[in-house]
Amino acid sequence: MFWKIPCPRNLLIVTVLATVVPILPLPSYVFHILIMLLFFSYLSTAWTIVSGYGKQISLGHSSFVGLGAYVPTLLLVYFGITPWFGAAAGIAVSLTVALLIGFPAFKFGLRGPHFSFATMALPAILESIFISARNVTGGSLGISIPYKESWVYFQFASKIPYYYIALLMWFLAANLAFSIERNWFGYYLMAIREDEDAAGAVGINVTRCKLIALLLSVALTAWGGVFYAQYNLYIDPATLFGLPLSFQIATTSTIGNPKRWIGPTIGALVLVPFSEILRILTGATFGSLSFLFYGALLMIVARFLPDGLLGLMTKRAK
Amino acid sequence: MALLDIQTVTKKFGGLSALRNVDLKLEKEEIVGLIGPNGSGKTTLINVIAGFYKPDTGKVFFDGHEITGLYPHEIAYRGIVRTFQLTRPFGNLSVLENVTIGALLKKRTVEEAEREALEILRSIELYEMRNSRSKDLTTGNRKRLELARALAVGPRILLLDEVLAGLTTSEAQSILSLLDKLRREHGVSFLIVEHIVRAIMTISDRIAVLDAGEKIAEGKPDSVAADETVRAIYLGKELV
Repeated sequence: MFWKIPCPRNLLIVTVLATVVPILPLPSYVFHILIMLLFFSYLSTAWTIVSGYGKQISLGHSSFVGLGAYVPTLLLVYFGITPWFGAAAGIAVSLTVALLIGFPAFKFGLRGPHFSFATMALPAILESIFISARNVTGGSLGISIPYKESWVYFQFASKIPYYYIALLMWFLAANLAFSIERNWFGYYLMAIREDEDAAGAVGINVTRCKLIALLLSVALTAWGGVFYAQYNLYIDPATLFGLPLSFQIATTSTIGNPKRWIGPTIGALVLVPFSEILRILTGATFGSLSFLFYGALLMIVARFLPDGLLGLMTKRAK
Repeated sequence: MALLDIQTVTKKFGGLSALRNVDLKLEKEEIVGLIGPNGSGKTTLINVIAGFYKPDTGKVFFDGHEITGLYPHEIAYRGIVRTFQLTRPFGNLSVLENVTIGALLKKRTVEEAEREALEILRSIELYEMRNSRSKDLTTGNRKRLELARALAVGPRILLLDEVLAGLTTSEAQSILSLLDKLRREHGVSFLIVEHIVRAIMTISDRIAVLDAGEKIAEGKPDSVAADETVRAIYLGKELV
């Protein structure tokens, strides 16, 4: 499974330009928005590898953000283990959980919506476990990460280092998605997306391909959870395990174009600023209003834009 | 030993026996035509050989190894590739992408597979259509694409489920001569399920006739065509 990594030129240009942004005297709030933008682009790109390319639509990816956030945090709080090592544990736990769900689901042919429903159960289960294990996890109030500003503990006083880390995460994920798209693995996932039986008939091991895509996606997602916990320094079950996050990841990619590497980023460019604006205007009371907007946008995209907002942009360009 | 050896295969769906104790052999570079009325079990037999159905009893051997109960992708990997009666292209992908996916089984880079795919598309006269979305193709071209994708896998045996149906006489003729060329130049064997009896009679070395899940006749095309029971099934229609 080794391939040459062909980096798209546009991605490289945008990334290089983005590295000089911190020179500008911008308020720290702007960096928060940029970090969230990169973070959601990253998460949705990870999601798109299994759910966009292979059309195995997961509505449970928040589980892996949650595990990626909680496992290193608990290891840090109780055993003083640095999140860099904790991250490995968080990813390992996430992969194990993904394997427990994914292997039987794919092996015994849970297809289409059936797979999606199965994945939806996971965050609901994990959320109640992390709420009820109050003595360890702090329950629904969540858990604060002790402040120890240092590279060793993946904590920084300013937002700039987080910005660079998020930029690197996004760059690597987008580049990985881009290479998969041009590689045999991407072609196999496309075949599975179009017709699983026909894919099997030309010799594609459908179960194995889906599983590899799922595990790749989950590993990236869990790392996203690690990053989120260290950036926010506070985590709670409802935010991280809750279904809204799962839906947000899926919606972002779907609105952009789940079949292309840049699609999720396009989706995040629209959704992240919008939900920020909405939050400023309406306050926390109407926080769920953004979901109304997501739903409306999803309907419009499903009805009129089969290739998402990206399709609209490329059509205009022609 | 025969290249493909089907031994007393039975497949039931509930109370209905779709196949009853069917034996069939296919030698290297041989073309065997499988005919029979609707519902006689022809497609079921293809599904059993290709691993889409597991037979209730009986065994299938390929090149001396048992392949009964293997997954479709494992059987395709070994060299038995099928086409679907109702064509199943990867609809939103281009013709070239469809065939490239087939070729990727043996070639690990997309460039190599694409080169191979283009060659196949040229030989099957689909080259001009290579960038069309495959769901927009005409029936004739969809059949060609189905065949092209199967060929790209590099099969030793092709199981063709009504590739000629819906084609004009000249289209069918060009596909038949392509099959003959594949057999001579690449040593491919064919099991061809077909409704157009006339076409299959001219190209097949041997014909097997299924009726209600049982093999009722087998032999050279001439002798099968002369067979009383076969004539009765086709209601006295002229076969040759």
